[in-house]
Amino acid sequence: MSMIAPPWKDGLSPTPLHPAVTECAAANDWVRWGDYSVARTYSSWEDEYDAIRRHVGIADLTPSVRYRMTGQDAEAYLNRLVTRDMRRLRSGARCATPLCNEHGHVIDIVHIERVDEHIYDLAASAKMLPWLLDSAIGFDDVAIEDVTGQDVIFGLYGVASCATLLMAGAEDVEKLNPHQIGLYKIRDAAVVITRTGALGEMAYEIRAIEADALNVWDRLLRVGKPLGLKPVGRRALDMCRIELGHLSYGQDYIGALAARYGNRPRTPAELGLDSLVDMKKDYFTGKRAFRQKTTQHRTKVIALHCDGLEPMDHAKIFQGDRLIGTVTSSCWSPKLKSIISLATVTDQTLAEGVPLTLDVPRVFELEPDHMRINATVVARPFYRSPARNAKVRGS
Amino acid sequence: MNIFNRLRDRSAPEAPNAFKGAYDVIVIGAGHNGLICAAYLADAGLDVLVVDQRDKPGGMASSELIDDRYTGAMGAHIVEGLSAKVARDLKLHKFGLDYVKRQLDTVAIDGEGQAVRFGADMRKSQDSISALSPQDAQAYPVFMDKMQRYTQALTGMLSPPPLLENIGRTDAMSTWLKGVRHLDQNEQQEFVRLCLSSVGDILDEYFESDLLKAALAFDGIQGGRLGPRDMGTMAALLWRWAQREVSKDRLSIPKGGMDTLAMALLKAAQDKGVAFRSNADVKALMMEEDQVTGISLDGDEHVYAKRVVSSADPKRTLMDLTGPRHLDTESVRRLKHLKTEGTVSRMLLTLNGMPFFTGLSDDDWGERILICPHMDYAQRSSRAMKYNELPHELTMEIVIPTVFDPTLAEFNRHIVSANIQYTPCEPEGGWQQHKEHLATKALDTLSYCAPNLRGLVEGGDLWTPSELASHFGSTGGHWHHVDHTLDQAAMMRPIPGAAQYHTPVPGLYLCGAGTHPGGGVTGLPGYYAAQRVIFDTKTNEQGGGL
Ligand SMILES: Cc1cc2nc3c(=O)[nH]c(=O)nc-3n(C[C@H](O)[C@H](O)[C@H](O)COP(=O)(O)OP(=O)(O)OC[C@H]3O[C@@H](n4cnc5c(N)ncnc54)[C@H](O)[C@@H]3O)c2cc1C
Repeated sequence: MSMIAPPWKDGLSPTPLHPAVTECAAANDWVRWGDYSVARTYSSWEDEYDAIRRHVGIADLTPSVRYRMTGQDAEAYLNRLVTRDMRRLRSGARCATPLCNEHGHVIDIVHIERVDEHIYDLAASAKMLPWLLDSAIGFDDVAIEDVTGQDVIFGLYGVASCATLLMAGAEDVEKLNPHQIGLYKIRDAAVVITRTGALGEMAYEIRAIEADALNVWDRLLRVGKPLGLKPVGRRALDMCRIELGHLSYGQDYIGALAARYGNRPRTPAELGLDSLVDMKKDYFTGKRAFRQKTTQHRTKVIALHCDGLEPMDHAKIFQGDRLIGTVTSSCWSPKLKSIISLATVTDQTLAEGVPLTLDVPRVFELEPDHMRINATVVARPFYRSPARNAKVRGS
Repeated sequence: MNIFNRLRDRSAPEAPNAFKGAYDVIVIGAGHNGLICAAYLADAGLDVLVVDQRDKPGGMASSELIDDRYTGAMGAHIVEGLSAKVARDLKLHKFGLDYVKRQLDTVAIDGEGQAVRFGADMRKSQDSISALSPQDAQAYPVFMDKMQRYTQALTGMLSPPPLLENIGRTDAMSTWLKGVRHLDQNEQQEFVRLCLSSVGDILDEYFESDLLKAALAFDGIQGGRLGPRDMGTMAALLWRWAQREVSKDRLSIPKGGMDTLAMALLKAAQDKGVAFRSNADVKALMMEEDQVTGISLDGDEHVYAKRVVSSADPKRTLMDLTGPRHLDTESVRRLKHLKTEGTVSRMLLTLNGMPFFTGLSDDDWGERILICPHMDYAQRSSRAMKYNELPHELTMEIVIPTVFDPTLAEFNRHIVSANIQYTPCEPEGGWQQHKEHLATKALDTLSYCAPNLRGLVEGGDLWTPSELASHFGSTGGHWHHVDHTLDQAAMMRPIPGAAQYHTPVPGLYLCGAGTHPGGGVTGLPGYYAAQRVIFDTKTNEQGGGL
């Protein structure tokens, strides 16, 4: 009798980059991402942050959830699925868009790449195959496949990201405009490179097949070294993400398919994404809810400058004596030299400059305690590099 | 087996109300619900067009001329529970509706010579039952009186239920359940128990005769997918009996065949100004800005309307005519799960003499005859059908309309009209290889119960559920368009988000058997849908959405 491996997985998988990544991961600080473990910090998050904001950082994004849609109806299918007009997404381009349920509640904010006329890649924050398949009923020619983990994906962030790619051999990559996709070579390996502008930096996403992954990583690390390149972990990435004011799935909002309580999901307007809802295009799931205004907008996402020196996740927010919301993401911002937070409040009229008080829960020597901290409403994003969309001149 | 011709000379008269290019409301389907809906709409002053893909009105409740010698129905053969209010409002008698027989009794036979007959006359019913079991003859009035309490409580629930979306928001639910709230506490508890039970379990508590139990259980399972031992069938029985309550004639046979009803409805509608077009197959709805603006017919012809009401089944209406591209994923998902596969095959035999069913006396011949000797017999068949197999034993409902209505056939010729329950919509391997087999089996079953029948057969026809589907333009050829089980009833019917005759699409309504309170020839879906549209017209609502 042969032993058959169980179809479920115990624990987390390493990504194909794991052997190379562990060599750099002196801090031995790992975090779960989907079914994988990735580094939270490699050696020091301060250095990693610095690399992203001043030089270049490289991250392993392999665990990000990906679906591939192929077929003549893929465009129409996606157009019914998401709130932005997919007919305007040209081949070789990418965009971010919310997708909603029938109530107009956000399921996720996804990135869609039109790889080819009839081939799309969708990067999501969480798995949602049943939703994608049911959405395909009535579209004859579209195949949907979960391709998560099939390719190895690197993120490259910072002013020197383009230079790193050029030195690694990706000729002409400087001609790639933001949100464009191209095919390149790094040390004989064919790679797909997308210029993303992620984290508010000049940034690229590089996709390679698993067999080439270690090779490409090696090459980027080696050529990037003189430029200040460092592998960066989730912690530094998340700080930059908060500085950019981007909302994180499951942290700043609950996806409509994942929410356990009926009042938790949010509309695009509540998340400040109403400009990504195109009411002029063909029908999409949620459009009627938007048109008929059947779903209430109750909350608003705001950005806060906070006093104090510690992140204040889950702090209660008061305006005078009135409890108006909760902090959802918070971190020290090296750029702003201050604690910054993203928060959800029930007061939709709250304007910039309004002073608020935060009630921060903490445990002090085994006793529950709390601190009162002052905060001010500010504009989102907190910080964004001018280089993110800059034209790059050839070396 | 032979053969079947469309009824030419009785096909719809040329529309007296001239056809135009734009209307207030277009009704898709001239089944009884579509016509009733149209008549009420026109009565409210709206300009209405009814279109049907067939060459005549009536939908699944109409008749055909067979071999130029017989008039028979290939869908409904008994008018059951036609709302007295609708019949009165539309003056159907003035327009020719009359019955050769009202308040039909039910006669069940077991094929071995035993029979039991019950119906409106309690004494006669008890007499007949006592031949099977004196115990049951005593229990029968108790059971019927008790059930009468619950069916009366249910009649209030035939009116439109509150929307699923409104549950927890308004007290509409308690208004809708008024009839149930008027029961006393013990009765309310019993009501809940009954509704969630199988008809088999409940009947076992009252009766000992297998034949009687099977015959009573029949009303809880006919047309559907469930067997008498499946939960929810007691609710189905009470529901059906509640529907009969709204008609004073209960089960009746129209004079001149089912077309008499169709023609009376058409004339009533036309009298109010409704225009009718036959042979008009709606290929798609026209939409502008997510709003229905009309229909497009075969041959790319467009007809415009502010509102469209469809009596085609919900799957056809929303998935085929509207299309998933105009719906939210959730609606499509719910429609995907909708159970619409028909379970009844229709057989019609033409005979040159009267078949004698063993155990029946000659005044039983015109009644509703059931072949269903035992609840387990029906349960076994339902199980076979569940796995897409033909059942070994056939459960049948038979009517010989020519007993009371000699105009349906030449002298001393008869029609045996049979509904064969528990035949799969698409049996394993397809109908081509099974249809002959089913026909033989049905004929064998009938000849077993009426030995002289085989020798009298001149011709006939058999329509499987999938043939019924293509003839009547419904998705699965289902009796109720959408199976009437607890998960597809009330505010879930046909799907949440499309209850109360609205659909998610503004301007599009449903009015057929797939809506509340379901199939059969009650006319209530058509009536209530019309009320909904009239209300929306007055308040200038477009309907649609959640
Ligand atoms: C075999 C069988 C036996 C039955 N026996 C009985 C019985 O004895 N007693 C009883 O009370 N009930 C019986 N029923 C149930 C009853 O016949 C139906 O529930 C009822 O007739 C449904 O009426 P309706 O008006 O809602 O729909 P239908 O009668 O189905 O009418 C819908 C109409 O829409 C038309 N249509 C559909 N799509 C389109 C399109 N795209 N374009 C144009 N037109 C379209 C169809 O041609 C049809 O005429 C039986 C059902 C079946 C299948």
